[in-house]
Amino acid sequence: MRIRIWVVAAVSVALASCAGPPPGEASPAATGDTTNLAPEEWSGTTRAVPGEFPTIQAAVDAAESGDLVLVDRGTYRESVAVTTPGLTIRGVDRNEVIIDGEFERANGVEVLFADGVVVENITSMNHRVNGFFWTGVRGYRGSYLTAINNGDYGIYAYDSGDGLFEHSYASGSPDAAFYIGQCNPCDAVITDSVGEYSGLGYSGSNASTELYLVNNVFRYNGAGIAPNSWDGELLPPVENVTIVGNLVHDNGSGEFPYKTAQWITQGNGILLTGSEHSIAERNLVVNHPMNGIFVHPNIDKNVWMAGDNRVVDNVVKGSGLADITMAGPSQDGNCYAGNDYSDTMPALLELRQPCDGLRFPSSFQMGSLTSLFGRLVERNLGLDSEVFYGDMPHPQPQPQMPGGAEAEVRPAVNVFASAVPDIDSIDVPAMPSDLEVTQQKGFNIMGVTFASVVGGLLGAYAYFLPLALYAAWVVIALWEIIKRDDLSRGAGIGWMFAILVVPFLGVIAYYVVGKSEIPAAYRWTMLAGGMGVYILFLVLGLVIGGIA
Amino acid sequence: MNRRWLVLALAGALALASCGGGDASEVLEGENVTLKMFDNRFEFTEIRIPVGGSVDYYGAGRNPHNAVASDDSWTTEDVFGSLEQYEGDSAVITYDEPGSWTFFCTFHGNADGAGMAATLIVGEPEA
Repeated sequence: MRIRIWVVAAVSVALASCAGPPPGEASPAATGDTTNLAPEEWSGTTRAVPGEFPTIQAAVDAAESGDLVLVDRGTYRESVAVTTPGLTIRGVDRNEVIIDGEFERANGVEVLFADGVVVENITSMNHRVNGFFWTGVRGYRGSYLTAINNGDYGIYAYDSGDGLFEHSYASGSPDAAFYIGQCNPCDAVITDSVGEYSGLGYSGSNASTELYLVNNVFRYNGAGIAPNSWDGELLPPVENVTIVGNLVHDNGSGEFPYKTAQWITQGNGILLTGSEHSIAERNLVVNHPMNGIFVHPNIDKNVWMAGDNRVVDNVVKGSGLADITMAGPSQDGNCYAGNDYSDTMPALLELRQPCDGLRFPSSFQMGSLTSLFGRLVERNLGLDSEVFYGDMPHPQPQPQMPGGAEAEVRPAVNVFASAVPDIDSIDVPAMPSDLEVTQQKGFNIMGVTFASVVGGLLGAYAYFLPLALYAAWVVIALWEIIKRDDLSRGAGIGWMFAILVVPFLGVIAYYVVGKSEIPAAYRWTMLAGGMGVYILFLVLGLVIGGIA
Repeated sequence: MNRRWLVLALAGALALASCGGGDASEVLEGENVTLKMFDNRFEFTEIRIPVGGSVDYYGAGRNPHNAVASDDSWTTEDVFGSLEQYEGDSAVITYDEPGSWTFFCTFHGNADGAGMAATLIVGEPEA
């Protein structure tokens, strides 16, 4: 029997240690191991829609590398798949050239393993999956795009490198308005864009290195910006993401479509989720029910701990839990400096975790994770309320691309090299005149909020109970030692020392082998009963949450 | 090394060995196999089953996925009822005739085999 237990333990440990991303390899385009196959210049050929071709797809199918597909005003009820490198698909009017999926078709425009494709000045809406989607490409650009109410992502680049999303707008996507995933180095920039009314404004699973999010607005989403490490895609962890000069406000307080991860993370401005070596700097973050900036681990198949991130010179106002929060377990090296804020969790974070000087251990503040855990359980119990992405509001007409139909045609070759932002020149965004700090401070105890019943229960039973039990065990044991006549002074002080210095184990050892005079039934009830309730709630949470 | 540590080491090594491999370029082979549909690719790029065998197309990603033959002769929609399979959704198709197909996810690949696509071979491949 004993051997069987050891076998089970060993296999469990070994399997846990090999849990990780699914097998396979990322595209060479996503790791910088290939070159862009598209021509660097326009071919000189324009394919006109609908004048020359009745549909965009017909024009794309007829086009050759480097051609321009120029789309006139109208609503195009189709999905466009692009497999020819170096095409430019351009609308003559951003607001009046519309690809409408009618909630039946999957993607507005999908670019499959075709390098250097540009899509610009077009609206894509009402698709069941994505508005605009590039995958497996080296070189991509989306400029002056509008993606409205698409069922997965608005504007999306996956397994791709060397890209730019600029002057674009995305809303009404349950996963994220903007998403760049699975690349390292990504060599990508998202700038001067707006993401709203989505699960996340920006999400970037395992999208790392030379990735810049600058001068954007992310508002009215479940959460604002969330680079994250995730086992479901290749190339974890996420690292070296630069987030500068963004206006992030009022995420998590209104209605937004979402999927599970977005429901969990709602109410936060900027999350560095299991992120490493990333920078959140000079952002303005306002009005979030939970945290303004939240550095925390992601518990997936692996526990991805955040480490070596820099949170500096941000202005953070109006956060329900805390303006800047770091939850553990975390790696070393997260640092905080120069921020304009009112409170942090844990307290005095800039003093304890400065960017210069000695950092004190504070890697295990886990109270603020209980709300995430509670949301996950809520979602899996069906206690959330579904929001249909198609019901999200449409935006006002968006700015046109300068030059319109006559603008220079530039295939997406060496995009990143010409798009790298001058980070030092970016200031904290000014507070818009119509934006006020309205979020009130919420009630919490050591980071545990009671915004939801499930989160509160988990916080009470799976976080506070062991602490309360431990305190009770210690007090009772010390009191008994003082009262005991059978212990010499030396033995009594020895036990006291063990109880006070060795967390948990010291006091448990006293009750088990210290010849306590408390009847055994009471001792075991005290030790095992309380811990049993704790373990029961923890296991229930893990199972219902789908973690175990 | 005492017996307990020997058992621990052997069991650990066994478990670690069991979690290796699985590269996407490898072939998935068996009578009744499960093919995970990750974001945004199939777990294996070639699947071989005998005539009468089955493939369980299993959603294992955050995004919706499906599997559709390039010649449109079969699709997971036929058995699942929808083209949108999310994490945990399963569509088992039994193949009673020999054949070879490229198949793809209509959301993340195309019939030419670009993007999220793979090959299914039922029975002996043609010489």
